[in-house]
Amino acid sequence: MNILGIETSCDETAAAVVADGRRVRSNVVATQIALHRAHGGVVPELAARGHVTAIIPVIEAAMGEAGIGRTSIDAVAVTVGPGLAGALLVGMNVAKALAYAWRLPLVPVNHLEAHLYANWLVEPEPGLAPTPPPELPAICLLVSGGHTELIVIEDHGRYRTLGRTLDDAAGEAFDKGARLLGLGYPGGPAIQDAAAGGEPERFTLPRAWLGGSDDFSFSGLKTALLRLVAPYRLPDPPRRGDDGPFPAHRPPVLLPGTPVADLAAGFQAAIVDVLATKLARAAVREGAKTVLLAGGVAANRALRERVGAVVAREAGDLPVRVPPLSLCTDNAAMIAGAAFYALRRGEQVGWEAEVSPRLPLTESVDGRR
Amino acid sequence: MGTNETGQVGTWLLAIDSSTEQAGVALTDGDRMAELGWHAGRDQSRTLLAAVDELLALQGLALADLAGIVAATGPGAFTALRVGLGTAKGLAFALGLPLLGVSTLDATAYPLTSAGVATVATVAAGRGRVVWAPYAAGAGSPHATAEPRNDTLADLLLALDALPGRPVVSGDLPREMVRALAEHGANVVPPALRWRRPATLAALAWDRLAAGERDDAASLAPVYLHG
Ligand SMILES: [Zn+2]
Repeated sequence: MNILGIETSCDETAAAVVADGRRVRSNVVATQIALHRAHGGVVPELAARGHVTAIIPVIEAAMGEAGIGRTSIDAVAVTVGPGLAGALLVGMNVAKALAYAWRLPLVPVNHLEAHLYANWLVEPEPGLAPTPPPELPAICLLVSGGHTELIVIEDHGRYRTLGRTLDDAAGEAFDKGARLLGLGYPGGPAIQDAAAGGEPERFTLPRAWLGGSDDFSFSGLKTALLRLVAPYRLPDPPRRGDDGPFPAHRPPVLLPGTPVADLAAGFQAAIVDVLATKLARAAVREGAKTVLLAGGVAANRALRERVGAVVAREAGDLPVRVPPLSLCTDNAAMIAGAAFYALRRGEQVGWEAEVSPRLPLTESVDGRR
Repeated sequence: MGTNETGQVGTWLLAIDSSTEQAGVALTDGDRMAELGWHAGRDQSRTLLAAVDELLALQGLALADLAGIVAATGPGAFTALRVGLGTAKGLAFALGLPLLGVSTLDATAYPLTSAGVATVATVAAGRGRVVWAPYAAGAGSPHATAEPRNDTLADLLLALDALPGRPVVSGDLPREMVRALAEHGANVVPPALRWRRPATLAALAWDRLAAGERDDAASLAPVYLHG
């Protein structure tokens, strides 16, 4: 069964074709990073504008790369939430129109659930048998610009959220940290690059353990970094002229010789340490058979290494799986993948479908879960 | 008309307008017309495609009978416009049909200008602002005599005083704004005439479609006019 997936919940316009919930036949992403960089973060109105002009070429490319016509597509899947309302609406209405015109089922997909399903996807390599799917129950750390959640996957469609961030998401913390250090956007890759060769122990940055809780908090870390950077920071130059409706981001001006690499390394280590440790402890406690990473921050090398090390220490040979980079960040292959299992449970919607910008993971998109 | 993806020759144009809280869909074959219009508020996404389906059924048509799609491109409410454009783009792509975009101000002015009345076409822009353009009276497609502007109501009132020939004012405006315009002495046409009819959109696009015109389905985007 071939499912065409469409994803427009934030700043990536994406479409993909996935066979049987696992085999990625195409995975096309038009990123808007350059569009938002000047503003130091995602501007919701600009994201929605970007989707309107990117969506049709992206869908065309996804079908072209998969080498299939519309008669070989069995269902259309689309992100219903959570995400930016105006951005979600573009994908939803295009998807509805395609499903309507082609007389296909329309499958609404929870973006968070889809991130988990990136771990089920395989990019076929000739001559190689596909890796078996993750063994359940699994524990998954979902870390992205919008989310930081520790989730038990009991079975397909059955999730239990153990903990989540009480303030900033991990990716958001990286963005804010990068902004304080005058690094680029998005913050995750910028901090990772800046931290290379840095000494993480030079500055003491706090780790919020929150007792034995599975929740996370990164706001204190951000404040601590702000304090450490303050002595190196020159006063902001006055704003000049009119930015128009979407103000530009002005990076801080730091003194020459500011220990950016050490600060970035310390900041990254503090985030990664808490994430990896809480994940490993919960994995042992919950009796998980697999440890999974998901979301854009799962692309971070330090996080991957630290999770591997801490899980090995706390849980022995428990398998750790991380999707390839292209399936960690927002994409539509994960939407099409998750939709296969959702459709098997009978989840589909009609032409009156709406988006759910604040949809949590543990609430079904059609109210049944 | 062109041959569509099903190999049949479609003869009907589908029009979609979700520029403001007022939404509508229409069909025309250049002669006959059918339309549905409703006050959608912020509910365009839930109601629009269902209305397309309903209108096709009312007229006894199938998707294979379509020859093209036209969407209102604004100015108007950005999110609402994108719902309509997303729907129109999806349908045009899925059915292999030409896509056209028509200005919401043109569609607002046309019923009056074609009847020989100079018109100021308006659309509420939120936060007390209004997007407007003056149109000359005359047969044929609507002719704006100036670029659209995004103004405060006070600035619009000043601009109206400066326009020659006391044009009428039409468009989807909130009640308070209509009252303020009337108190200022502007000649605002009654609600039934200000109601933007999707059939007007269809009629405006029909000639372009018949002439073989089409817009680029990828880059077609709403008009974003900031004050
Ligand atoms: Zn995401």
